[in-house]
Amino acid sequence: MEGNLNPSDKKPLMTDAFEAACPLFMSYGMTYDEFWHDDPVRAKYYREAHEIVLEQMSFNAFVQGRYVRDAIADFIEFYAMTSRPKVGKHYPEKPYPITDRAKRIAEEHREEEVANRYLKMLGAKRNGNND
Amino acid sequence: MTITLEYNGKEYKLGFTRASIKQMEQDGFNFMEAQNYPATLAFSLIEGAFRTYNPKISEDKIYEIFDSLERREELVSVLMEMFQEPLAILKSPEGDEAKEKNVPWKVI
Repeated sequence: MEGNLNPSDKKPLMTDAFEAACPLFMSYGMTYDEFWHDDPVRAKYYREAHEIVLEQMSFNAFVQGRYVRDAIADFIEFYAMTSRPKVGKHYPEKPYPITDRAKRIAEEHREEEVANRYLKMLGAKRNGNND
Repeated sequence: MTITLEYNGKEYKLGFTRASIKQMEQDGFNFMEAQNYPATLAFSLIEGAFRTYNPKISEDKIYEIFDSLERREELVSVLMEMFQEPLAILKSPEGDEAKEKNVPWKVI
């Protein structure tokens, strides 16, 4: 390119930084062409997406740890401390509700169960069957 | 961040990609050193910004368009900011503050 300064023997600093960062951003899912030829701002979204993935991984590990913890608690309580195995009460019968939607559905199911138990207790269900 | 301008009914997009910056540096451009030579810096940035998205444009055409622009000093200032953006975004979240919109530019 004409109009440039005298070529320097030093390797250009920005190119060095780009070449060093390229594999990192490719590990985030960015393609080589996106990194070099597309809008440079795109890298920002790949980095942010990667941070979200890390948070999801951390959350998944946390939830898995809770399942393991509850399974071990069941084992200790019902097999190590008593001679008679019982039904475990620590390990959940359903997956933990994680999303807001799942929490809402779980809450609706819980309220439904409470209501059913209450009706059963009052004998309302039997009366209903007799009708 | 890109600049778009219209000249004689044709739209030109100006900006930098990492590849175009690499090409400029391979051709001898060094941003840090160039800051000591404002005229050279300006010419290099203008040419580089045009050639990123218009690789076949001639040097004469670039300067014909540039000479017709108003607020040329401001344009060079914006190009300096744009040139640093691809690196700033990689380095830290602060670099994310770089504008993502097209900068409007008018031709006299």
